[in-house]
Amino acid sequence: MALDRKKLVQIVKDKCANIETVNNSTEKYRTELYAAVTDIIYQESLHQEKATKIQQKIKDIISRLSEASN
Amino acid sequence: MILNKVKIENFRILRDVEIEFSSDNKKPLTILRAQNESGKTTMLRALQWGLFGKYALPKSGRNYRLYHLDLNVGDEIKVSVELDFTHVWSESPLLKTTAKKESSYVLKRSVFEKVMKNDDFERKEESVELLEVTPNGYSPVANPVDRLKSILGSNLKDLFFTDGDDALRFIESADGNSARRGHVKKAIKDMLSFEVIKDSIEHVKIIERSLRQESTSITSGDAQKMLAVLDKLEDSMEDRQVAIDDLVDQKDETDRDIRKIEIRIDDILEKGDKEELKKRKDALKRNEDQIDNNIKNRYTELSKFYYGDIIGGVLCKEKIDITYNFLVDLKNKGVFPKASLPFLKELLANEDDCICGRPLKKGTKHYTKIEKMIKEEAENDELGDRITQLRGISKDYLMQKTKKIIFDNESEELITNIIEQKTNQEDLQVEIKKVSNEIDSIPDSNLKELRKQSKDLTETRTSLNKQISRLRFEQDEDKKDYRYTKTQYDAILKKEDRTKKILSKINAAQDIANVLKDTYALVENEEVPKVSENLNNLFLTIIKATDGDKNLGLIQKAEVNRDYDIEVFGPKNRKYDNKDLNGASRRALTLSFVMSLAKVSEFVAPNVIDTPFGMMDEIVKESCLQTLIKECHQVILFLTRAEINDIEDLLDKNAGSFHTITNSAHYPSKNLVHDNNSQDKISLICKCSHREYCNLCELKGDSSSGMKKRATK
Amino acid sequence: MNFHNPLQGKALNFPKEYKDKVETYCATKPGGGESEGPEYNPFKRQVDLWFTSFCLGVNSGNRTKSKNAYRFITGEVLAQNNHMIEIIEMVAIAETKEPLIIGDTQKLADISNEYAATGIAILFNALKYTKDQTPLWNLVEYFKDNL
Repeated sequence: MALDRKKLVQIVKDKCANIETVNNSTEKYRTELYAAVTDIIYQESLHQEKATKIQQKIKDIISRLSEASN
Repeated sequence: MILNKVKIENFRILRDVEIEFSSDNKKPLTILRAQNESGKTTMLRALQWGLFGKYALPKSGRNYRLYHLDLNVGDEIKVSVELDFTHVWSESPLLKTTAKKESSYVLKRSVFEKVMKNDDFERKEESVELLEVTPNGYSPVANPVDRLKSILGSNLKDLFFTDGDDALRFIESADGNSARRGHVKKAIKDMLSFEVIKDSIEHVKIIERSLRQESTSITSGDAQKMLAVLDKLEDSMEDRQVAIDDLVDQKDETDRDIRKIEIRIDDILEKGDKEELKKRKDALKRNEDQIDNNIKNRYTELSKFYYGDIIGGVLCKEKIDITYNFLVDLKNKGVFPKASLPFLKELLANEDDCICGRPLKKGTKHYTKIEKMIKEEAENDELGDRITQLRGISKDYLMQKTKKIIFDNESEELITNIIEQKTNQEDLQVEIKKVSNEIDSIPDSNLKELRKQSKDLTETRTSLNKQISRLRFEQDEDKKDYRYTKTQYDAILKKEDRTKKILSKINAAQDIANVLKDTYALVENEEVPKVSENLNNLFLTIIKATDGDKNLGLIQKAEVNRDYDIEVFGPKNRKYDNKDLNGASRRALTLSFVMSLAKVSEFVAPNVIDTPFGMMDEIVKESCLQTLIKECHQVILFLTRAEINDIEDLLDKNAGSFHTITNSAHYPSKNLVHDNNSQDKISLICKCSHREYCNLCELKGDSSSGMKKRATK
Repeated sequence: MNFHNPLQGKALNFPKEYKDKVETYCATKPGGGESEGPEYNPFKRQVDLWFTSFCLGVNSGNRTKSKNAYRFITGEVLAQNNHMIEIIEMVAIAETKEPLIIGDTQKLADISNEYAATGIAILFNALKYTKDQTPLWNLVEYFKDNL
């Protein structure tokens, strides 16, 4: 998958801006959410090319996002 | 991504080839005119290899030689492809680079191959270098492979670098329907990032589940109780610490005072301890008094001596001597003492008869007479006794008390004693004087007072130390309790805290999963149909199946169904078997599919197509070309002369770059007019357009076909 | 034990001219005043001075009948001084060759006073033997030189 996906990125951005979040729904959090989702997609695409510790990476991304929600 | 230029060295028959691609938006076509076996496909492979590496080669490069067949066994050659391209980065956090919005790169891929026996070869590790063009020159990119992936991905080589025949796999496959669907599905999923999103959702879900398992519930009441204990301990320790600090300050001050006093005492003592000296003086004085007394006593004894018995004896010695002799004489004469009296007494006491013979019976006359005699004599004998005494006394005197030597010795002894005592007294007085002087020389001080103060302060300090020790001990005890309670409290809090954190993480995971799910749903529900819709529009346009809204042909619709089959429908929605479609339609369908994917995903990449127009008539060919020009950002077409026929004008209008690839080995058998290293069998490149020929590419008949001859350098 | 004191009740005399001077060398001063110590008051009592004078008188061999003698004390004071009584008695016996003289208390007193009257002059000379010595040390020197 090519990562520089304008369309995909646009879809993700749109979703992050409008989705009903479980955590507190501040603008900062939504920005962080967008970064987290795209980061996960990036890590997954790398994982598809070559095995990585994908679960740990995603876990770290989730942790960072949860900190941003506090 | 837009290709600008490529330079190929030693890639099979492409010995030394350089192509400039058109990057003009208004003229997006690059035309590479080449007859069969000129190196079109090799060029495609070279571009694919240059961009994607060995995995882009057939069979991932295994048994696919890159070296020219002319090489001998043992020859080693460097194969390289250098690509110059530009990429416009969209605004996206997907980027893991610090690239600008539009970046130009030079990609250099090379490898060494050694010819081995039996058509075998040894290929070394590929070398990849990616340079970014900056205002200051070329800047190497740290992770070229990652950067390339972020620009191209790895699965797009099949979509954007298409061999016309190869692309038919989307609509027909020798491996069966499932293989075909697999190709379509893969292409769609890759372009629309299906798998990645799906895998992301899966992984996020796994993590969410594990987070839920991690969270536990606890009683917050325990924490509160402990907190109360901790607060109390903290307050108590704080107060106590204040008290300790205060006591320590007092102790320090006391220490300072003690030191000051000790310094003063030392100063005083350095000059002399007056008190001690005074004590010493007093002792000496007492001693002196004692000696004084002794002397007085000695003097008294001495003075007594001069009215004592010895001085009397010595001075009256003559007289005493006379007296003694006189009294001895008297005694001898029986005068004194009178001898009769004792005799008479003894007679009466012990004898029965008198010396005259008469019996001495008590009461007898004679007895009474003797009694009377005794009485009379006794009455007159007091003096006699005294005289007798004096006789003895005088004898004593003469023996002991009249001798001058005795007088001398005794007086001498007394005198010597006095002198000794006096000497001692004098020495003592000197000593006393000395001490007195010392005392006098020492200025008055309050040494005693200072010593008392020092003692008092030392007692104070001892007391303070005791208090401090006690409080510190209590503080340590409280600290231990505090630490223990805090550990327990922290553990509880950690659990609570962790729970909160875990909850927060779970929520974050949920949010992420929801975004991904929605994205997946949207892509699946909206984007995939868009691919189908676009496919339909493009296909029908290419094959000229419609004229406005009116459907003209036997082909009414094309779509990608849910099973990822590309289907074509005729009138009444009858589905055609793709085998029933002619070659042109099949090609058109394939190209339409590729274009629709690119359009829907908004992916920018060059479409490099080798002989796309095979089996197309001029109408379809033209329509196909127009669609390509309209829909694609950059189109690089490898066209045979036959394919170019009937679309020359379109090419004139829309191609910004022309090249002709000629195989030198085509001289003379394949109508190549000129011999340009024909024995080398290499691809020759010239910039002749479809309306030109030159010494490199001239075929028989070119000169008379209306094409222009282009001078070569 | 009853101490023999034949001079009990008898006057002990000094020549009158020594009346005020005797006190000078005695510790006890019936006229009042403090003793300056044995060095200056070598004789504890006047009777002690009288006895030394008596001894010096006996030693000189001369008796002086003092026309103007003053009684400073009576003989009771000799009660605690055996040696004085003894020596006086022995001198008296030697003087009179009469042992019973010791029963003649007046005669005893006379003999002893007369000898004392002689001896006091000698004693006073002795007490002033040298100028720069104390009376006691003068006595020491005198007896050392003259005994």
